[in-house]
Amino acid sequence: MWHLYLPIAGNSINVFIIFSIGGFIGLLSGIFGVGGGFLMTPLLIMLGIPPTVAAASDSSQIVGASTSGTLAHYRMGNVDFKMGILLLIGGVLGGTAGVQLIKLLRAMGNADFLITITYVVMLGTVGGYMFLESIQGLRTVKEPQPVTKKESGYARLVKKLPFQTHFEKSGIELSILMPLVLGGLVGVLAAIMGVGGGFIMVPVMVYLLRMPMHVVVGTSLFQILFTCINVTIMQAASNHTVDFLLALLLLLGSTIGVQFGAKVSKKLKGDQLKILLAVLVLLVMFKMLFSLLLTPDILLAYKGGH
Amino acid sequence: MKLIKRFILVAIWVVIGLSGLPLAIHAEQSPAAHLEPNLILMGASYNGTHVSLSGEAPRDAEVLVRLSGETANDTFLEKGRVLGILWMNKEAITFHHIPKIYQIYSPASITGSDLAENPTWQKLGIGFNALKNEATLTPDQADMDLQFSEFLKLKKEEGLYGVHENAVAYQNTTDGRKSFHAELAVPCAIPQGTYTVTTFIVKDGKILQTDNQALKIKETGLPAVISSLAFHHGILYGILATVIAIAAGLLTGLFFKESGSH
Repeated sequence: MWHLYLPIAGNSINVFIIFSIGGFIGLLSGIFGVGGGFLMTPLLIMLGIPPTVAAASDSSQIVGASTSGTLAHYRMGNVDFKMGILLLIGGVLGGTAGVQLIKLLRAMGNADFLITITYVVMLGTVGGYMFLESIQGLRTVKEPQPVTKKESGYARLVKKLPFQTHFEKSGIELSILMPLVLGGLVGVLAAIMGVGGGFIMVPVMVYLLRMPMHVVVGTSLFQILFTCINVTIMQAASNHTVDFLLALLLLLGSTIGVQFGAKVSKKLKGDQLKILLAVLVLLVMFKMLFSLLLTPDILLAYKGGH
Repeated sequence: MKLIKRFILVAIWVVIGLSGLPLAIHAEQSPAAHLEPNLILMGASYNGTHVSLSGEAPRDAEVLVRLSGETANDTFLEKGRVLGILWMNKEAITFHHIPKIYQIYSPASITGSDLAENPTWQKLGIGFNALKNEATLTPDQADMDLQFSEFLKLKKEEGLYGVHENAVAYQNTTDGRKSFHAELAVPCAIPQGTYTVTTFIVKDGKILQTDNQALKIKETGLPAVISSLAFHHGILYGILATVIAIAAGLLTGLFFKESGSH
């Protein structure tokens, strides 16, 4: 009862379980502005979906969720389209470079080792920094001064860059080069690690672009939407790994979840959001670390996936 | 009179011979087993199924049933330690001549360990050891015993490989024969194609009869439409998937706007 056969995944799944997973990940996505692939893909693999199909169908699902999420955040005035488009251009260029770089790394051997270690270190650093910084922020509620003082060198450097422009929604003055270059770097990392990069992009926008947290969430979703459209079409065309039925069930849940997430996000303070995201990122980091340290039950794995 | 008697005798022998001949052929060549159904359609609500196999065998023989299919190559990543402490995916390793599914159904008298350890069964080529002997590995210096046991763990966990003990039931019939029956579980995680259900009738360590029944598994309805679109019109399929996803996202967004404004 209530099972649906998925022809591309080549397995049958329970409709309600997939719908609930979609709803839960959508909720996280709406709150934090991340795609949630780092949670979704392992969950789908646990349910018997092949890793490559899980990753590709998830990206197709994120298209729906981030459309719904962008719309919800747009209504609250939380999407900085100008910034989003610049980050996106950088991201596409960076992603293309990243794909070439990964080929080079693989040819040199030991690429997987480098990638995994980078991933864990990255998650640990980003999560740890956000966690500590937002705890400080919660303590000294209305005094953001210490942070600005500490990074005034960085702030001065940013001001010296050419092509300064005003980002109205974020309420900041920045060089166009900043989002282009940072977007590019996140694109390279995301391509190398095989993830959407939301959890790197969000801290980059908060700490390096100094955007307000709520605008970060909305803008990140807007950006993820286009990244995932690109990934879905590429995967469908070259690898035939997008299971549309799976994606449809997931996005029925996630498009609803993301709407509630956006409402939750609005109710939380910027620092509360940061601390929760930091905990989530650290949890994923520990999970990865444990899987690296504990002896696996089976010493063989299917190719593909994260 | 003598001539007539001889003629009648010859006639009787001929009749017996003629009637006996097809009987003998029947015993040798007729299917020992009957598979029902032998075609499985995977529609949208498909969630694995059962097929039943039945037939007749001599009362003192054993019946083993194997569900298997065409062999192919299967590539995995071998996990190993890096820097002595970190477990990671390392070398790619390919098994050649490996079936997608391999299920053995045995009667109560034959256990899984009998099949794995008893030389009689090994000699007959039934069971995982036989499978291991037929398979080859790339790179060829890889440790087959170790890798194959890991491979088996993975496949058993997925429900594609297995030994089902006490799964062939007997019932005595007349004239020193018995009927057998087995319910074979067809997992949902096997692709469409033609599989083979083989019945081995074994006595005193020798195969008396082998019978192959084809089991066809075919996608139908919505899954068939989606498969053909995904594999033959990849780009169109990808674009459709994103357009529908965007439409679903917009619709939900609009719905929430309306319900939110109240």
